[in-house]
Amino acid sequence: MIRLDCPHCGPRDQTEFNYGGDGRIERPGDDASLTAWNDFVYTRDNPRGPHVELWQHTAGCRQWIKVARDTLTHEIIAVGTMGDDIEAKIADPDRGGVEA
Amino acid sequence: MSKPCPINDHRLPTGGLIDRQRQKSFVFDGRRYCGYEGDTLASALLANGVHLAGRSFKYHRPRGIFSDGPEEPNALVEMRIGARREPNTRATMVELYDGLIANSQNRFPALSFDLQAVNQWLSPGLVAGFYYKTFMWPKKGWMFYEHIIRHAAGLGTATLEPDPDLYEKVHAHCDVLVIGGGPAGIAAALAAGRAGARVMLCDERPDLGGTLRYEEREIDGKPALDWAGGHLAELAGMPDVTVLRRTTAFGTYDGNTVGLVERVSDHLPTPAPFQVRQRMWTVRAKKIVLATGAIERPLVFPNNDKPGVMLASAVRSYIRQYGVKPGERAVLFATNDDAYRTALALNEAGAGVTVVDPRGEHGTAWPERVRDAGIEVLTGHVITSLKGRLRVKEVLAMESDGRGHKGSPRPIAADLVAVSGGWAPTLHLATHAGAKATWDEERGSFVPDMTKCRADMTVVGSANGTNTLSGAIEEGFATGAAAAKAVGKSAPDPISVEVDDPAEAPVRSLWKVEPAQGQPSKSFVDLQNDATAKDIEIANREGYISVEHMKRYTTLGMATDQGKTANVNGLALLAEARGQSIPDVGTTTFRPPYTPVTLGAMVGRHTAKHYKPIRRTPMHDWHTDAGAVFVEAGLWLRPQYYPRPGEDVHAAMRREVKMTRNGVGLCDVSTLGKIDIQGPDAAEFLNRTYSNGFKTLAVGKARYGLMLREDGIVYDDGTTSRLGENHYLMTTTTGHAVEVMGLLEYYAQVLWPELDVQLTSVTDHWAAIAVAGPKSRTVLADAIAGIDFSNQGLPFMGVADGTLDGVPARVFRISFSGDLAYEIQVPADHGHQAWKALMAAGEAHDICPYGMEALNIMRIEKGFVTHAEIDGRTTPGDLGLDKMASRKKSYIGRFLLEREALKDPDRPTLIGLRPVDGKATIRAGSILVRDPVTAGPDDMEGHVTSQCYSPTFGEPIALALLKNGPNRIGETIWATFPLYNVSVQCEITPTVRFDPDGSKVKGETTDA
Amino acid sequence: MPDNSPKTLPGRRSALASHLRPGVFGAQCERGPLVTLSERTGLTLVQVTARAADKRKAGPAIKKVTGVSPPPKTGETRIADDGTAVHCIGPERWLIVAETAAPDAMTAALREALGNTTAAVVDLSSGRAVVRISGPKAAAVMMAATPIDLHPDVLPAPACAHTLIAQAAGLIAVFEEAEERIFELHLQRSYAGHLWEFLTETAAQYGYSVTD
Repeated sequence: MIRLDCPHCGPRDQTEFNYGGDGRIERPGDDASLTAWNDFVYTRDNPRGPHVELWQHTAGCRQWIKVARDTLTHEIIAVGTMGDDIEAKIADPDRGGVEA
Repeated sequence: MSKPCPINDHRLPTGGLIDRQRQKSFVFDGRRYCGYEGDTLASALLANGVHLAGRSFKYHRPRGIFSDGPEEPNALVEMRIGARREPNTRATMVELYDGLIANSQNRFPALSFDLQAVNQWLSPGLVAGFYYKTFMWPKKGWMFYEHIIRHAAGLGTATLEPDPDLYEKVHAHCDVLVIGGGPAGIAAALAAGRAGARVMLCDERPDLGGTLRYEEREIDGKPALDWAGGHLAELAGMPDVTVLRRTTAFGTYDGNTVGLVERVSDHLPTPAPFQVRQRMWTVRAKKIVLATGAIERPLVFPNNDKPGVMLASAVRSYIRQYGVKPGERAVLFATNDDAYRTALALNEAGAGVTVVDPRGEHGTAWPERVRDAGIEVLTGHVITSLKGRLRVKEVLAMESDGRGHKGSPRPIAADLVAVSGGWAPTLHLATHAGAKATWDEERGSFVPDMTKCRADMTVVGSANGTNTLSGAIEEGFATGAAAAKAVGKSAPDPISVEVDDPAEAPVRSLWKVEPAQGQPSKSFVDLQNDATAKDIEIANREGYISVEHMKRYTTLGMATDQGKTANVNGLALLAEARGQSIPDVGTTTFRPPYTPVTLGAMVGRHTAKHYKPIRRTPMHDWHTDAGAVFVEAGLWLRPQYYPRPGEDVHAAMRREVKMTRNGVGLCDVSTLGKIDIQGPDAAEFLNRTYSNGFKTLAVGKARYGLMLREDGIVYDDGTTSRLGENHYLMTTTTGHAVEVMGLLEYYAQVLWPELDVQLTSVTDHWAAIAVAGPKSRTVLADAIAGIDFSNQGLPFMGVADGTLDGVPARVFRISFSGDLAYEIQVPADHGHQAWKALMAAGEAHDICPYGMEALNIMRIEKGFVTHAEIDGRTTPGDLGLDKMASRKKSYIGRFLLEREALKDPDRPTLIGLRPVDGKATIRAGSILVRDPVTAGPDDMEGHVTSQCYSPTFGEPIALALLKNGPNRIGETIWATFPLYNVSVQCEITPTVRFDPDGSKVKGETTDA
Repeated sequence: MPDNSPKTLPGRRSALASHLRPGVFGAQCERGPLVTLSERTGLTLVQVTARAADKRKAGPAIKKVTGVSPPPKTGETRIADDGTAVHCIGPERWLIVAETAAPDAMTAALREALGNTTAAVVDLSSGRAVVRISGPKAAAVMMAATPIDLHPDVLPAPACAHTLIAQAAGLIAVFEEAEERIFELHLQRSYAGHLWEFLTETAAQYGYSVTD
């Protein structure tokens, strides 16, 4: 099973977390068009490879965290708090991991 | 024992690792036999001369014990009787215990005389894929064919009785998990253990040692088993090392997780009191060492499936481990030197042996050693077929290279044929995690290719193609040391061992022996599923050329043994048929479990009432003592009704409604979610979360709130009260409490981190009791001190603090029943006390506890919505709550609520219904149509969401969503339930039937 | 029936009242029961959640009231001289466990000490069932109850971890008393019966005693 290294609690099984969707999308502002709102709620990319997503550590510290996960191999590339720059960690060429 | 035990005729006078002082008596197919402690069921049967162990799956051919391990394809028996009966158990893995009862399978009426053996004569029609081509015509005949096929299909019968045993699941963590307790595994565990790492070592057998238990090898001049025993004792003394016996690693999963199943009590007649039958371990290891060894490959030749044909290593294992003589006159058919050890073992046991080897004369010591012992070796020969019915009795050997046979067949009398085509590393757990198997031409076997393996795993020993004993030990030790070092321990002192590993000539890959003229031709590849060499040719001819297709078309590799003795031969034959190399053909994917895992082990203790946790309210025991019938609401148990003597559910709930509406009732509502919200931005937070406004809520007031999803659909509702300047208490529905908490934390942490607000779940800290009815005010004024219960003192939707029986109590004047009502919250530890105090205070007024049924009736009478109406498809407007969707502020769901389709006036909207005849029940879920007889899907105008019998109005009533509903009050509509062919004509009524002007709830009417 | 057990204050009723019976149960072992279970009642449990910006101010307030500075990192536990434990169960979130039942006094004292600092002080004394498990096989029982690693190297006492316990979310606090490793489990009160059943059924194979 997937293990997530919660930045507050340490490594925990995925059963302690709740999946919260795509971590790259931004909520539109009040003056955005209906189309923008529609896309926000319904339209998602489905990447093969690294994906930034949100998880909540519901059985632990109750914090929402950012996770970079490879959708093909389930490799957890990086985990951080909401304020961390996860994108940089995906792009890091020195990161380990397995080629798909 | 009363009767003396029948003698094991085929037991050697001395030898074996069995305990000859401890006899075990057992029954197989109704006959009683004896064996010893340390026997498996298979070894005990062989010791008693029982070779016939079952009938094959498709052709019902007689089959015997083939192996000594989990790869056993033939000897599948039904173990035990009654509730513990377990079909398809490999006799080779059953530890013998006193009183064991086992039965062979797939035969009627008896093993030696099986009527379905007639299938053999039908065999030309039963080849691969036959079921795609037969039983097709006529179409209606299928129902008849299916009945027969079902009866003939399958192996063994499962019990229908509940499992009487306990199972358990545990979690474990370690630095190094070593899978396999043979020489390589022991060495790896030793190295890591000496380095101070946290080690787990598991083996599927009751005793560790692997092949050392039957290969008479020496390590450092001493018996190899002593070497193993000494190191196992050392491991047993290390506090951070766990050695698990009788434990199979069945799968590798993400995150370096391995599943193990420990057969805690399978070897006992029944588990000890309180002990589990099996235990599943979920192990999270930093490093995995796979030391699972290899499984011997049989040879494919005509009639190779007869009882008495066994894997060569199994023959010498039965001789040396169990002291059994598996035959009097044996032929060893082998394409490799390792198998020659079996010839020597047979000779030592006093059996006659002839060796048949397709390889030419070659220079290694093995043939010479064997000939020196007086055994004839026929090089350049193959076995072309066997004779015998219930047991092999004669072998036909011919000079040959496998394809072209020369001369005439030489018959050799034999009651045992030991076969070996080489070895196949056991790589399942590596391939589960993405490793591949690559073909090593020199070794004549697959070896692991770990480049794409997602797990942090190293393969050692014969599983890695390291086929010498010294090599396996050194490789295991080095890997264990490296693993320990990688987790931060310092490397242990290296070890070296002196082992005599005689040189071996290369293995010859002989994939099948062509049938000889005038001799039988049926050659089996997969013994369990009865897949033959011809089936593979047929698959190829018919276009199923991919190895994955071949597997499914022929069913080769799909039986409970996953083709452990068939896969390599199968795909090599496919490669030959395709004229390609083995690497070009590839392999199929292995998936967990490696061997069958019982559902009990997967479930553990989470069965029956433990399937999910049960949540109980603080007053649960009072309800139980009062005879309440409980209903599940999510994880909670809630009183459904409190039957008085002679009452059924209907009588009880109607009485509870009447007593509440006419007097006073109390209901346990502790299960609703309660969330404490604090901070200077708490009001703003609520304002953005709810669809209706919350900025103007005054301290000491409560307000009903509606929460939408981002798509404008109603998600949940509840009441939020302002307890202080920056302090609010939100309630949610029982069913969504957990989700709403997560959602609010999402809003606070992810969407609006700039808001200064803190959220704490307090659901369990407060017991909550609804007190409802015209006399509720009187009772509470009596029971609760410190609150002015007059209409001015505590107005509708007001909140006040007081004390109840000396306990701080918070009172909310809110009503879910539609009557004058209140909700009392006290700390949960005092819930029981508070409930009793209210019952006492209300006794003079005939106070009545009411449950979920009555609660539901009253809210339907009042037109209040629950998740029956908030069903994930309805907007505020649909529920008649359009006024609660503010147009003045931004909140979750605001923008997509503006979508045209959600504003469509034709959308089904909430109304009430009553049956025109005043009697018929209007089923929930009924579809609303104008004419039930002619209505089609396009005529659906809505559906019934909730219904009940209303004691207050003396008739059934319902709530429903209906197109343009509010404008059709007074009209009629039909509620139809096609599944039960029932239609009820209804009158459309307003949603709120009880107290429509709210005067009761607002306390404007005075009741005594 | 009013609960007359001496462990509870007048009127208080534990969630385990109908589940817990003192005695020795389960498998008979030569060494005696290898697991000891008990319930802790009469505690004050108060949760403090501070806003990150104000964290330096919440610390002194907690220290003033409990006698110990709240630990900064999730999973850390500090114990005051009088046995009051302060567990960090999340960023800027602490659970204070005091051994006497005086929640009103503690919440009031904390609110006063915090002054204008934004921090939520919430009494949870009634909201939790607290069970202690100790003995040579306590760790084995815990392996069945929770998926986290409880090895002393990973969780050296005193420490805490909020995780899954018997399929529900709760807090595991680890203490060392008289060289014995003790697990203290905090679960939402509504799960108390479920937790007790799980622990006793799991511990039965080792023999367990239930003490007052």
